Amino acid sequence: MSSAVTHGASGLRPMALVWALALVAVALIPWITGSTFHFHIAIMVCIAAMATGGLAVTAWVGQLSLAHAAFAGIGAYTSVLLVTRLDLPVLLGLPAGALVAGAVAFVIGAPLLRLRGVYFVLITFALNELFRLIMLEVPEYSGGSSGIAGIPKLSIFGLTLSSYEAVYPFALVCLALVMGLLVLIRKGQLGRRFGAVEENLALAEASGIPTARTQTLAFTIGSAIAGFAGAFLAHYVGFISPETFGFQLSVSYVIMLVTGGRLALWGPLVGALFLTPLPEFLRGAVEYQHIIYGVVLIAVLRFLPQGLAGLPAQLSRKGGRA
Amino acid sequence: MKRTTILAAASALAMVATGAMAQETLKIGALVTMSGAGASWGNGMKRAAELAAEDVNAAGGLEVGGTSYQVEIIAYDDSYKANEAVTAANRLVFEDKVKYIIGTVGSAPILAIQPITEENGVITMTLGFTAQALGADKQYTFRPNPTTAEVAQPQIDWIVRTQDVKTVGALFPKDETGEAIAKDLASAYEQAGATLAATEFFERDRVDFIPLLTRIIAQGVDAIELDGNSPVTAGQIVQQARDLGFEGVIIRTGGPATQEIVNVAGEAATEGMFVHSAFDPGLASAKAYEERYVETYNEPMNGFSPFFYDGTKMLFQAMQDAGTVEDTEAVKTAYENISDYDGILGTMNWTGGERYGIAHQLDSPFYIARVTGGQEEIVARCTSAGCE
Repeated sequence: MSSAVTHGASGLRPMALVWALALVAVALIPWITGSTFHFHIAIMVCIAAMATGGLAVTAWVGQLSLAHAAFAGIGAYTSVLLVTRLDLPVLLGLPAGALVAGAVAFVIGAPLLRLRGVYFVLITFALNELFRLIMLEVPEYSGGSSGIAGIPKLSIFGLTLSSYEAVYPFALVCLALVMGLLVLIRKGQLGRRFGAVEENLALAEASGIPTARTQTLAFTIGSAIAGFAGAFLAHYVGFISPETFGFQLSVSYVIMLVTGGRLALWGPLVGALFLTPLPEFLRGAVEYQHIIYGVVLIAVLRFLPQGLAGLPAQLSRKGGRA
Repeated sequence: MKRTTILAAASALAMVATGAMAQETLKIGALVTMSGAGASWGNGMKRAAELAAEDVNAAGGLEVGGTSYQVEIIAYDDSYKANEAVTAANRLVFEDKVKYIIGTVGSAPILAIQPITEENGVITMTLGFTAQALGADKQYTFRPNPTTAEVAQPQIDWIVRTQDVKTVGALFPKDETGEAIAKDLASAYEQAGATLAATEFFERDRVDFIPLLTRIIAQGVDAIELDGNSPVTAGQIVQQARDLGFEGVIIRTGGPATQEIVNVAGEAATEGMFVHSAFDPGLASAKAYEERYVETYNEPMNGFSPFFYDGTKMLFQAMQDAGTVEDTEAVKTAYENISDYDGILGTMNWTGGERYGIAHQLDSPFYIARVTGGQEEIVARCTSAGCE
């Protein structure tokens, strides 16, 4: 198992409560400030954390998918089309989006996952572009480049979540469910199988682990989570177009994952918490925003190779040496 | 006693002074594209708002209903992306509490932010060319610049008639704006008796047009149309078309961007190009605005900028007419009621009731110019009825 995981699991147990409390405090910020904009940012953090969580599952078996935005798009379009064309409740549209995205990943996963490393990255990059181009070519379903506007808002049992304050608790619950699923996977037998495949594929194969099936399963679960997050995004923002789920979105998920900690359980959440609000601090600094964003990113990757989630372990090591 | 009198006098004076000088800040958002290919449009819009604000601030503030407001422009970049625009719109509306937004540049971004702005009664002034931007259900969205739908037909009629153009090739960005313009142009050329024979769509950040242009030129088109492309992209297309040996007519029937195109492609490549122009060089106010823009920002002025300057000044007048900056419904009605506004580009009126179902489209005179030595030279004067 990777060092990030080992440190996360052992040395920091006494600190776990402190971090959990810190997380709760951060989650409460919108209610404390009462700012609608802070609610919006918090909801975007939840959506990004869910999507990045999905990407993490695929990363746990040693693969990096650049088609993650496409799976978010599949989920988004599935939910939107089911809700708008077949009058399905949004609450069913969200899991339906996850199911379809997961099913597509399952079907294409087996042949794709034979490729490893840079080849898998390239093929998934091509897949993301293929998804976008196909969607542009079927405007009767995707809205073409005009996209689909006026998407029904999130609703639970007929109760429409029309305000940001109402959406946020629902987003938190969805994020908690996704993170709960990640914890279950990680702490269970499946997580150990994922870890073995990630660390040494040949050894895992020799030990009797069905590596191909394990990787396909991880890819399917990860893509299904992306589908769910994409569907959530569509109903929250109210507008989607094929451009929404372009290659850049995939890259931003990868950046969040790597910044948060590629193999750390809480990496996706930490990455989303750090990188989603960051552009907002810089939005006013029009001339310098991209430079500052780039410098911050380089600094994190350079000085925190295990991502931000590895920071406490790194600090405690330094503390121990001092 | 003496001290009390002085104090009382001072207080009275202070009260009068405060009453007369009551100054508040009026925040106006500029949600525009400030990075990437659409940045020249976005900067043109943002700076128009800044210059309009500078005018009223220099005059002591905007007097509305007995209060004087210093106008502050809060600018955010949307990178021409719908999701970015949604976040920036949320910030402007809920964090900065603005009730007026100049923007967006793109069509997809305006469609994405309208659920927020319309629901919260925020008046927006978009450049987005899509017909869907305006509608009876979008009471708070206005468009101060003419789009291809408004200006294409008269100009294309004139070009086809005078330049003997039969077939036209064109490249469009593959997005809502590009597709809307491609559709408008195809029907306009057909109506004028020519054909939009060869079209190519490309990603907005593309810089190499040689393969696309080779295909278009191979079809023997008489002219290449540039409408729908950002100024920098249009300049690259002109340069690469001439490099490939294309000697036919190059036309830009919408989206004023001559100076930027000349800067990118050079004087030789742009010589003889026909462009849409919103400027009458004979109009001193338009010329003065251009000079002021260049002097202030040390960059060539984007042709859309004056529309947004006039649009913002009209908005200020609407606030004064309504006597409020808070009640945007009253301001919107006053804005709609402005007629024969004497702007820097000429007399402006609202139109679009028939086409869009709501008269929120600004109508203004326009021109066809031929580029000579890198400068526009007006060859025809147009209204929606035709060009002469």
